[in-house]
Amino acid sequence: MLRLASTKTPLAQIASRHAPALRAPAFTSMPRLYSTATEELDLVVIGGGPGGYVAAIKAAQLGLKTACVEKRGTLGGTCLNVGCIPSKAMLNNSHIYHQTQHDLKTRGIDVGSVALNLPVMLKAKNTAVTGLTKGIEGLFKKNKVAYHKGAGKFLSANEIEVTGLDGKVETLKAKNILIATGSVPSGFPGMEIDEKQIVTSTGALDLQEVPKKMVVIGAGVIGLELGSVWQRLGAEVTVVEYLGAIGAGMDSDMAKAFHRTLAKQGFKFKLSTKVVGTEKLADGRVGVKVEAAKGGDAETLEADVVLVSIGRKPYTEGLGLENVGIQVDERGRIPIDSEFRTSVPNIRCIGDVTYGAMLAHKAEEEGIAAVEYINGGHGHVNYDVIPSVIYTHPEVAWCGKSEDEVKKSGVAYNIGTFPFAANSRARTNADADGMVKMISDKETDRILGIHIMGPNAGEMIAEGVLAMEYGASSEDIARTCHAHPTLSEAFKEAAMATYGKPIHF
Amino acid sequence: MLPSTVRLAAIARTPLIKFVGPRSALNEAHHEATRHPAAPKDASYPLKAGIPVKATPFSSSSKPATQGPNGTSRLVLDFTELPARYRHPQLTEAEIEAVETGGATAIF
Repeated sequence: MLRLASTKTPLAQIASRHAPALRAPAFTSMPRLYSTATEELDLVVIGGGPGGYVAAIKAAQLGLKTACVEKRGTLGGTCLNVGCIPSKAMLNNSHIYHQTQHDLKTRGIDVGSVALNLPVMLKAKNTAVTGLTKGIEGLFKKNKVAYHKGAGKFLSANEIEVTGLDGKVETLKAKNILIATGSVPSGFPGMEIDEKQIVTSTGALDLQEVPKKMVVIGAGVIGLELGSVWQRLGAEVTVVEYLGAIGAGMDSDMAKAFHRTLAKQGFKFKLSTKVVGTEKLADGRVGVKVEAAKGGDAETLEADVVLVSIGRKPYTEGLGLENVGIQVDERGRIPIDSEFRTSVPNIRCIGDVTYGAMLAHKAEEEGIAAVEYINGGHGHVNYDVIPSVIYTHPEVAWCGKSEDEVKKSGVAYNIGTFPFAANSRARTNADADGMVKMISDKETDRILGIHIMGPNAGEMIAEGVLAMEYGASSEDIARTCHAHPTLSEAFKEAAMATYGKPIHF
Repeated sequence: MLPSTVRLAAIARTPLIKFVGPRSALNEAHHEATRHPAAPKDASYPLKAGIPVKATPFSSSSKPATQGPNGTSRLVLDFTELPARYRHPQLTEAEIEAVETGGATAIF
C-alpha cells in the first residue's frame, strides 16, 4: 500500500495527471459542446447490407430510435445487389436451361429447340433483386427505421455526417453507432478490372453475351458458382487455383469428390498454379499468363472474359475512422471485442468489415447480437457453427470442423458417411451425386463437423447446424424420425454410420 | 450374468441435447467483454484507441457558433478540437496493467 501511495506508481501518476485537467474551467464554462440540427438517436447503423439492415430492424423492434445510412441507393448490400441473390437467380435459371438441354429427354420429356435468351434471363435476375431490395425499404417503414440514402462519415464518436445522394449534407447524432460497411472484391496486383472483359463477381453477373472461353482466377465459392453459371450457358471454363485443392477450405474428401464432379461437368482445373499477369491479345481477347505455383513453365490461357475471384477485403473508405481514432489491422479489418465494441466503446462493428467469415448470414447474426448488447441484453453468435454453402449442382455445404482440422486438434473421432446413390429419393430423382459425411467425438459422440455434397445440401445443412448448436450426438440425429422418401434420410443414415451402422449401405 | 452389450441396451438412453428454455429465463444480465472469439490469435487485446485527428466536416469549413450573452456570437468547440491539456491523457501499458490488476503488478 505504501508503494501505491508513492507518486512514482502508475496509479498515482494517472491520478496526478488527471488532477489539473479536472480543474480546468473549459469543461464547466462551456454551455454546450455539440451542435447538431437533429435529435439524438439511440443508434445509427452505417451500411444497409444483410448485417446493417437486420441490425437496424432489430434495434427498432427493441424500441431504439434508429437510423440506417446506405450509400448504394438500394438496401441489401453486396448480397442482395451484386452477390448472393443475383447469383442464385442466375444459378437457378442456368441450371434449368442446362437440364432442359441435356436431361429432359432421358426423363421422357421431349422438347423442341431450346434457345437461350440472355437478356430475359438477366432481366429476371434484376426483377428478383429489385423486389427484394424494395422489400427491405418496406420493412424499414414498417419498423420505423429512418433510412438515409448517402455516405456516412464520422465527425466524432457521436456524430455522423451524411452526404446524401441528392447532395444534401446533414449530421446525425447518436448514442451508439454500428459500422456495417461490408467488403469489396480484392483486385489482382497489376490487373485492371474493367467489369467487361476482366471482371469481379459484379461484372460476371451482368455479362451481355456468353463468353466462348472464360478463365476464373480462384476456385473458391464465388469462382465456382459463377463459373458454373457461364459453363452451363455454353462457356468453356478454366479455373486457376494457387492451392492444391478447390473449395474454399472445405473438408478434403469433399473437395476431391467435388473436383471430380465439376470436371465431369466440363470444368477444366489448373491447381497449384499461379497467375503471373494478363495481356491484351491482338484479337481483342485477354491472355492470362500462368505458371506452376512452385515455379515452372509458363503458359498463356486465352479468354474472352477473366473472372477475378480471389477473395474480398473490408471496406472502410471515406468512413472517417481516423476522426474517432479507430485503427484497422493489417488486413483492413476493424478490431472488436466479444461484444462487437471497437476501441471506441459506443461504436460497434459487425460483418465483413471485421473478424470472421465474410458471409451474409454471419453478419445477420452479429447484427442482432450487437443490438442486443446495446440494449443491455446478451447477444449470441456461435462461430464454431456458421454454415458454408456452395450453390453449384450438386451443392456443397458444411458446418463445424473438417476432418483435417479435427485430426490436427488431436481429438479422437468417428466418421460416418452415406452416399446419395443409396438414398431412395435421390435415386428416384436421378440426381444422386454426392454424400453426407459426419464427424463426431469418439468418446462423447458429440458432433464436431458435418459435410454434405449433394442435391439440396444447402437446405439440409440447417439440420446439422441446429444439431450442433444444441450439442447433439450423432445418435441423437440417428434416433430422430426422418420422413420417407426424402433426401434427409441420407443425413440420418450418415449419423447411424457415425455411431453404429447404416441400414441402406 | 448378462453380456455387457445386453446390459447397455437395457439402460434408457439420454440424449446429449439439452433444452435450455426461453432466453429470458437465463440469468444472462451480467456479462463482460472479452477477446472476440473470431479474432486472430496475434490480435492485441484489450483494444487500444488511437488518437482522433481533427474531423473535417464536408458541410462547412467554419466553426459552428451559438448565441452568447447580449446577442454576441460565441465559438463552440468539439471535444476533439480541445487543446491537449484539457483532454484525458493517453495511458501507458504499465498504467493500464496497474488499473486492471488493482495495482498488484506495481507491487509484485
